[in-house]
Amino acid sequence: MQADQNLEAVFIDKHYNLVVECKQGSKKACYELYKLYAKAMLNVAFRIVGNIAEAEDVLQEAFLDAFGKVKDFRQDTTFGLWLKQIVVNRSINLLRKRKLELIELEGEQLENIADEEVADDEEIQYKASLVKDAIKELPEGYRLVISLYLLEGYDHEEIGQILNISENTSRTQFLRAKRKLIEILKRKGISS
Amino acid sequence: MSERLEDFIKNNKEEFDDLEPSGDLWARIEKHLPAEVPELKKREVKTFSLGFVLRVAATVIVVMGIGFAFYLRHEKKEGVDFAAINPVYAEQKIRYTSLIETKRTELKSIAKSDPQLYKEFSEQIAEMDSTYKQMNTDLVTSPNQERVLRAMIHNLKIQTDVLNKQLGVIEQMNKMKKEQDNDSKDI
Repeated sequence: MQADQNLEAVFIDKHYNLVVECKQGSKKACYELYKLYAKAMLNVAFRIVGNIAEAEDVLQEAFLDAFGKVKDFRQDTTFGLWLKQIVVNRSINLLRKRKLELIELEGEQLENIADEEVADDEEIQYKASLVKDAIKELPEGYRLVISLYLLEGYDHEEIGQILNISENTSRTQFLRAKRKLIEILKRKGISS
Repeated sequence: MSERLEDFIKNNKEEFDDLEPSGDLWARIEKHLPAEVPELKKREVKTFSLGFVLRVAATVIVVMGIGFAFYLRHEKKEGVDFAAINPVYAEQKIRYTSLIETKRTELKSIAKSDPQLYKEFSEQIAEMDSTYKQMNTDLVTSPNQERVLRAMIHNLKIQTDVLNKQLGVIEQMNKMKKEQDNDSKDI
């Protein structure tokens, strides 16, 4: 999130005016905003919902939602962060509708995952594309926490609020997810 | 705990954003957006509003200017330098005026409890005050300003006396009321 904010701070004025124009009903300005954020937001949605068709649906609804509410947007934060919040919420709602068993995460025996279990990944040479594929193989709950924490930059407290789980559960869940991810990567024989 | 994987992902976020939205997605979104006001019309509204703002600003400036001019003229007209006529009188005038001001507010505080009495009292004062105001206007053109000023101060003195008496009456009445209350309580 830090990086996002820095990145956006650079363009904040340009975007600010675009948002103002979009508020005034300029479709061109809205389209500019769409072009600026569509790709990043699609990837955010995809990482949460796990398939491209649904991610596009989420994206479409999120943009419509944002443009519909943009008049009430006080611009205390950047449009990007605001939009991202909408995308994440909508994605998670979609998961809930699909009956993702987030409660099940809570019920797992969390004590089993102790910190002493050091996942050794020293010899692994990571590649983005391979890591990404490995993330896709993760169970939905794991994928969610890993994505939110590492890629969307939420901290465990925020993830807890978003998923309606405790901060500790998010933390433990993240450790498990990470271990699983390394496992998958090793199985895939990442070394090249 | 291994941080390498975490760091790797965090540092290569951009590479994880590899999906591109399909080309017709914007068209689908646009279809649902409310119809836009034509560009030309919007610009017209904008320039109009700018002109409107300028006109309002100009009006405000003109009104302020006129107001200021009036104020200056008024100032000149009323601007009799009392101290130049007689410094002692000028001082007295200020002292009495402020005294009367205080007493009047004091009197006003009874307005609620006895509106009839307040009306009577304030009518008396108002009569004297109108005489005072008349003298104040006469003062400007009067050939003997000192005399008028003396009369004005005399008026103020009487106003003060009357106010004092009025307040005394009210005090007396309040006292009586209290005593009555006490008496009735005693019985």
